Order: sequence, then C-alpha cells, then structure tokens
Amino acid sequence: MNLRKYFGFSRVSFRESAVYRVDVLTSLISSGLFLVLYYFVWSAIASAGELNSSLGEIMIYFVIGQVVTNTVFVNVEKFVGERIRRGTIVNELKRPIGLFSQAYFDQLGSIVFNFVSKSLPIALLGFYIVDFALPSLYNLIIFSLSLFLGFNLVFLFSFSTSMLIFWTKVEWSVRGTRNHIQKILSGTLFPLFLLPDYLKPFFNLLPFQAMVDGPIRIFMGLGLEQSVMVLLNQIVWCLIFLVVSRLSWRKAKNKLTVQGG
Amino acid sequence: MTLIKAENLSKNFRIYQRGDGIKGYLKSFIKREYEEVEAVQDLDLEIEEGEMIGYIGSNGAGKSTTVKMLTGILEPSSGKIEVNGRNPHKQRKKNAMDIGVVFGQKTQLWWDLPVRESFKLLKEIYEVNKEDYEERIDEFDEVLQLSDFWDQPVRKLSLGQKMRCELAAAFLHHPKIVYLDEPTIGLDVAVKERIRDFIKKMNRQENITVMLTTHDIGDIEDLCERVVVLDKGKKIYDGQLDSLVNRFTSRRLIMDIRNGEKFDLEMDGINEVERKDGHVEIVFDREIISASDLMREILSQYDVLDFQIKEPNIESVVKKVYNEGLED
Repeated sequence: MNLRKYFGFSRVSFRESAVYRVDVLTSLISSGLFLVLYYFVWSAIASAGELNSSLGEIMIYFVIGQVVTNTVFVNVEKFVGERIRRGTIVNELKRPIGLFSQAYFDQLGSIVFNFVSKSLPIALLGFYIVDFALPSLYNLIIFSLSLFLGFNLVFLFSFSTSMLIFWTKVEWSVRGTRNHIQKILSGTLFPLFLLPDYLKPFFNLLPFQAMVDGPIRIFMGLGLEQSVMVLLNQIVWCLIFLVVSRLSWRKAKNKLTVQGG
Repeated sequence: MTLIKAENLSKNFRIYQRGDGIKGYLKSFIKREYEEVEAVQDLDLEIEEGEMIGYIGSNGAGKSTTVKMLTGILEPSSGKIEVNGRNPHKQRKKNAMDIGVVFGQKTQLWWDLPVRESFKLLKEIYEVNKEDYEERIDEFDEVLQLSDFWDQPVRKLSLGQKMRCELAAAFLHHPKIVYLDEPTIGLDVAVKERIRDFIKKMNRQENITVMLTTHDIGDIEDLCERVVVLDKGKKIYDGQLDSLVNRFTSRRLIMDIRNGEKFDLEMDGINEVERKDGHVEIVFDREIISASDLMREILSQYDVLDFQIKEPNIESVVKKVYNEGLED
C-alpha cells in the first residue's frame, strides 16, 4: 500500500490550517476564558464546601482537559457538510481513494497542527499558572498514545454521525447535537471523578469518557494497570465505531444526491 | 473498442414539494409530499475509444446526472453501465484511476494553497512518477500557461486560470477517459480557445476519449464530430453533428431579383419561398438539389441582381431542438 498518497491529505490539511492564524488565536483565547470562568465557578462551589476533591486538582483536570479537547475534538460534520451543501463532494468521490480515508487523513493533518499550535501552548501556560506536577516519562508516553486513540474515537464517532447529513442536508443540527452530548459526557465540562457513585457506571458504559476523561487521568498519574485498561477501553470503542462508520457510509453513499450543476 | 456502454440507464430522484406561503411551509414541515423526478430515462449510450462526443441538452436535461453515473459517483436507479470493462459504481476507486473529471462549477483544487500544492497531492493520489510528472507539467504549461500563477493560492485565481488548472488536473495521470462537465462555463473567448486547443491536443496525442457536456455550441463545433442530445432525461439524438444540423435547418438562398414579386418557382428540393424586404428567400434541401443547379435554373428564368447563400447556424438548430424537441 502506498501510504504517501494518504499522508498527502494530511500535509495539505496541515498547511491549510496554518493559513488561518486568527483561528489559532481565537481558540487559545476561548480556552483561556473557559479556564478563567471555570476557576471562578469551581472556587464558588469549593467555598460552599461539599467537594471531596481540592480546587487545585479540579483545575489541573480542566487544563489537561483543554489540552486534550483542542487536539482530539475533530469535526467531520464540517468536512462532510460543507461538501454536501456545495455539491463539491463529487470531487472527493471521483478520486481513487475512499471518502473515509480522505476525511481521516485530512483530520489527522489538522490535529497535528492543533496539537502544536493550541494544545502545547495551553499546556505550557497551564503548567506555569496552575503549577501541576509533570507526569513521569512513561505516563507521558501512554498519554500520547491515549491522545491518538482519543482522536481516532472522536473521528470515527463524528464520521458516523456525519453520514446523517446525507439525509438531513444540513450539518449544524447534527454537529451541534453530537458536540453537546460529547462535551457533557466526556469530562470536558465537569470532572467525571466528581460524579456520585450511582452515576459512574452509566458514564463508564458510554464511549465518551474514553475521549477526554481517560487521557486526562493517565496524564494525572494513573497506575500502569489502570492506564492499560483505559487504552483497551479506547481500542474497543474505536473498533465498534469503525464498524458503525463503515456501515453508515455504505448506506449513505447510495443516498447521495448532488445538488446543482 | 467500445469503452463506455450504458443500457437502459435511469436515475430517479425524490424531491419534496414545499407549499406556498406560511401555511404551506408549516404543512410541508409536518408532512412532506414527494415527487419522483426522472433525471435520466432509459438511456442507451456507446462510446468508442478515442472519440470526442458532445453531450448537450437544456438546463436540467440530465447531462450532469449521466456524467455522475458514468464516473461512479451516483448509483443508477436501474440499467447497466460498463466503463472500460468495469461497473463504475461498484468499482469506483479502480475506475477512478483511469478517468479524469472536470466539474466546471466545482473546483477540486485546495482553495487556500498554492496551485503547486494541489498538483503535488494529485501526483501522489494518482501515483504519477516524478519524471513523468515534470514532463507532463512542462507540456501542459506550453498550452495552458500554468506557470503564470503556479505559486498563487487558488482563491486568488481568476475563473479562467482555475479552469486551466482543473483541466490540467484531469489529464495529469494519462487517463483513458476524460469527462468534462461544462469546462468553458463563464470563460472569455481567449481562454476558451486555449482550453479547446488543449483538449484537441490531448485527444490526438494520446487517443484519450472525451465526453463533453456544454452549453457552448462553439465547443461542440470545434471539438466534436458526434453529438448526443438529451431532453428531459431522454436521448433524442445521437449521431453526427452535420446531419443534426442538416436535418433541422436547410440552407437559404437570398436573392435580389428584378420584378421579384412575380417570382414563382416549384422544384424538387425547394421547401419554401419567402419574400422579405424586397428579397426573395428560398429554403432548399441540399440533399436533393445543389446550390449550383438551383442557381442555374433561376438564372435561366429571372434577372438576378445579387445573391447570397446562408449556411445553417448550429446555435439556431440547438435552440430549436431544445424548444421543440425532435419530432419525427
């Protein structure tokens, strides 16, 4: 298999992402605002008592959470939706490479860019401000692995839901729904370790904790055995959504109507 | 060798009807009424290797839909297609290696990147080796002059420049067949000419089969011997361009004749005699009577002061076909 042509899509999307510097800046600002806002919200909660964790621990969770989400939260609905709306999806479909692969390597290029331009600065700044302990080298390696698996999982999930656009023809509703559910359940909006015990099994049965919460826990110093469990959990969910995404694409491609021209 | 073969090809779309006014909108929001539209109906088509065929028809006649089925992008509702021995929808990716496609209104280039980046990726996608690629780009450059804007981002290019790139992209990997869906739409005369020269050159040099949909009759006149005319999803004509033209318009002989009001002539091959602004106009069929025979006959009886022969105009033929269809 000639991999060069696949990575060609990543190279191109990396360079395309790099064209828009303002986008990087606004992402950083919005992450920063998010963290400031959350600092005040959670300080208030902490001062009211009733928290079984320290405020510092919660803030580290949020900072790492921003590092993770800025890399792994890809958006295939945008990729697919734009092309369906304009009808330019015919261009992807006339090429000797599947739409799935084109979308995957395109997103891969943009997450590499996001990691360098968004996640790293947030990590550095967070390290400076919140003052968390750096994880051990092996935690860092496993963390990188879980970050990559997290991207794969979000990609596969988002690709599956993006196939709905072949029916709805508009992307924002599909994208918005997926995004909100994902944010609430993945550990982006509140640390999952704060959940009451009776809710935890429910969250653990869903794929979302494997997207953000898992990698955060590894970064914060999870033991080897539990880290491997997180990775295995991510792999299982990836496999499940690999099947779902392939099946939904098979259904969607026969549904295709190309608008205009 | 037959390269493209379609039998009883049909494609239906289901589109929903939206009601009028607020009430209608609300009603269609709750319950939609669908209508089946037959974009292409029972189309038979055979294209030989090396042919350049013009595929014409009014807006919405089903031209683009046919191209999308032949390229494997859309699945036909019914019927059979074989392109280069393959089913293009089932074997879409394999088929894609052997074809080039330009959708005139949908650029495939990467909008924010320099033209060279798009071509670099296309080179990788179609597995074109380095020497071949460089040779190819130099060759394209001669006719299409790509180097003028090779380093500019695509979004800064003019429509004509973009189309020159699109065309080069479609022919880059030595495809067997190239489908051009409105390649000259919105372009000025000079660019059109350059593009036509390029297509002609590629066809002659590499025997690449070209299927061209267009609204520009000049494209057809310049490039295609054979035309297929589509009307409301049905094929209404398939054959030589010349015979389509002859079938629809006859030649006209326009004369100034002394005492023209008394002109009266009946002969085989004369379809009509009209009098306009003091001229006499004869519509004749050149299959039956030649202009010289007709002229000789008239000169022997009348005093002709001046005359001219008006050749049929393809544009008017096509207009007529679009408006009235072919009825016989």
